[in-house]
Amino acid sequence: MGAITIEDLTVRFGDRKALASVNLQIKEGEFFVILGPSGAGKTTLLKTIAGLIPPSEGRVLFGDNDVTGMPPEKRNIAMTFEQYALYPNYSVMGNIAHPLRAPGSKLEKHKVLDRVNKISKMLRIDHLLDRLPRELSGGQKQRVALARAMVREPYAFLLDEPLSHVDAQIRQQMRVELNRLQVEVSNTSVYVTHDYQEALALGDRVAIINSGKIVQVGTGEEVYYHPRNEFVARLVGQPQINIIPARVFNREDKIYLDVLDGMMQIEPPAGIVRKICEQEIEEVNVGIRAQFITLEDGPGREGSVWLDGKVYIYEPFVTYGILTVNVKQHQLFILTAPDGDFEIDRPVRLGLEISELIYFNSITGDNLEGTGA
Amino acid sequence: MSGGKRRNLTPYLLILPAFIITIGILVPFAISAYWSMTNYSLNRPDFHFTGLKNYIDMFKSRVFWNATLVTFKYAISAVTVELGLGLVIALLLNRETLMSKILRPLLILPLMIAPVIGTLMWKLMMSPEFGVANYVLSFFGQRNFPWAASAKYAMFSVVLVDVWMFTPFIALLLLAGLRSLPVPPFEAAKVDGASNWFVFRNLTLPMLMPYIFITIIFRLVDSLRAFDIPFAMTKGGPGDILMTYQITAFNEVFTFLNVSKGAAYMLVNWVLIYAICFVLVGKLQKWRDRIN
Repeated sequence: MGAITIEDLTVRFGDRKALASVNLQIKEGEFFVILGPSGAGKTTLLKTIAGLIPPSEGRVLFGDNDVTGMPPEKRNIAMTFEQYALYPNYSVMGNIAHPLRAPGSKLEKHKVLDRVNKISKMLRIDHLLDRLPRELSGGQKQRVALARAMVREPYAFLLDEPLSHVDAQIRQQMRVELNRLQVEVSNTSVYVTHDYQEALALGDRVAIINSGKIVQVGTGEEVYYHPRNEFVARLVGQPQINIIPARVFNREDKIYLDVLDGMMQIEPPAGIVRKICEQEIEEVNVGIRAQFITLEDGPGREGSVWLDGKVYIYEPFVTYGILTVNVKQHQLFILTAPDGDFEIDRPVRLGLEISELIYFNSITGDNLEGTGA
Repeated sequence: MSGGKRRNLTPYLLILPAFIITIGILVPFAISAYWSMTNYSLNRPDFHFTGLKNYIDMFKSRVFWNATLVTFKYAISAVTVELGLGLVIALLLNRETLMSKILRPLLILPLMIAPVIGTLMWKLMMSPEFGVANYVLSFFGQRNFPWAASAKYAMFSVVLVDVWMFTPFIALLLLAGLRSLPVPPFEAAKVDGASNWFVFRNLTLPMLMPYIFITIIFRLVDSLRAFDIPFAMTKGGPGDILMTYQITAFNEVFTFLNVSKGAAYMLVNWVLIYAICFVLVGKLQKWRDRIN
């Protein structure tokens, strides 16, 4: 059980760089989530840690041990795969026990049975031990795959999208169980997902990866409220963050932002103004999450600014609603109460919480707040 | 031609292929099935319906049971050896080595040769006087090995040619199967530290089973119809050692001009192949379900 260090890791497939100089420090006992869209290099990163893909450059260290050239079976890691990867003609029992019966493992028979029983009870699959994988549902298969990983006492768990192929109900339940297991087992775990909710719910820390590069590493709160750039802001959150363009202008020696060609003017905070001046930025993208936009009747409240638009569509989701409003050619999402009644094309006034605005350099996409890594 | 008329023609054009298949396959089939129940012979000016007489005679004759034995001996030994060899070759070629990259395209060379030509080449090589096969054997102290000329080794000789000709076909099919297997179970096994034997026995083989069944179906059907290789080698001899169903039927029709008897042999051959295919396809489906 322990820390994993990844140093300048590059993986090339032909001419394509699947991973480009990745550096990560995963602490002992940490539940570390790698979040990114498909094709970002998440699974490649995980498989490189497992030793299934040899890196083109860089090192992988388990504690102080350099394991870069070590074959997977010597690394003592447990891994689950997106498509379960169960052994089709082995029973659930045989599948779970297999790592303990492998040539390298020297465990007595009754101990193997004890371990399998303990783990399968924990994951509530003890009644399925005699079944074959094809007789299981997706959620059960996934639990067997998890059990097969957890039956060992590995240096670390590597989990590749374990919840992506199970339906919503089981996903929620499994997430709860994974959280609980993490508390009970407290092993170092690296968890790959494309689902930001899973990432925020499970991860002690989250690394966001895009096109083979780590974009940001931080706690769920950090990546949600202080995204390093527009990519992270868009990846995390549902409905997606609203991003509207604004032009920088100077009036009486003060810096203002002109949003959507004169629809709204904002006075950004001092830190942002400094960045704008330092980097001589002319255009800024302003981001605001859907829950920080309110519907106003008259002129906006103190501390908010407003935009006028027309209702595009309202989607009620029983416990909340999402209102989509067209402001000029832009679409904004607003989180509302579930019982909204909005006619299409009705004019609405939107109040934006000024303290919750996030400012991005419109060219690089970087957050001007300048978050830490 | 007016548009209306053209439209009237379209449905007939569309069923034309099915129609051609019907008259091209089903009609001859039905006719020969009928002939098998007559005493149709090219020696006689006319013929009449005789019911199952041909079949009863056939089942009572030693010739028929010899043909059955020969056909199955040939088919089962050829397919078994080819499957074993083909699997080994496919597994070796599935590795990413320079050797397998070079050998993979060469694998199909025997398939480029017509079976009759291939057999004639082998016949030359197996010639007792000037054949290269006996020349090679002479280094191992074996002189004048009789090959297909002897009753003892005739079956071995033709099976050898069949194996040479069709093992690459099986290897090719199985190689395609191996390359299409899902990767994650193999990675899981690697992480678990599973032995090579475990991986082969519990992952490769079960997942390859549907492909193995397909190759068995292809090859078994083909070799139960065996004609070209044994015929080109010895015309079914020595004696009746290599008289398969098809060679026997051929002799009945083209040597003895007894069309009805030949048709009866062919029909029995067809029923057997059909029944075996039926069972194997069912098994194939079971394996597919088992894997998914």
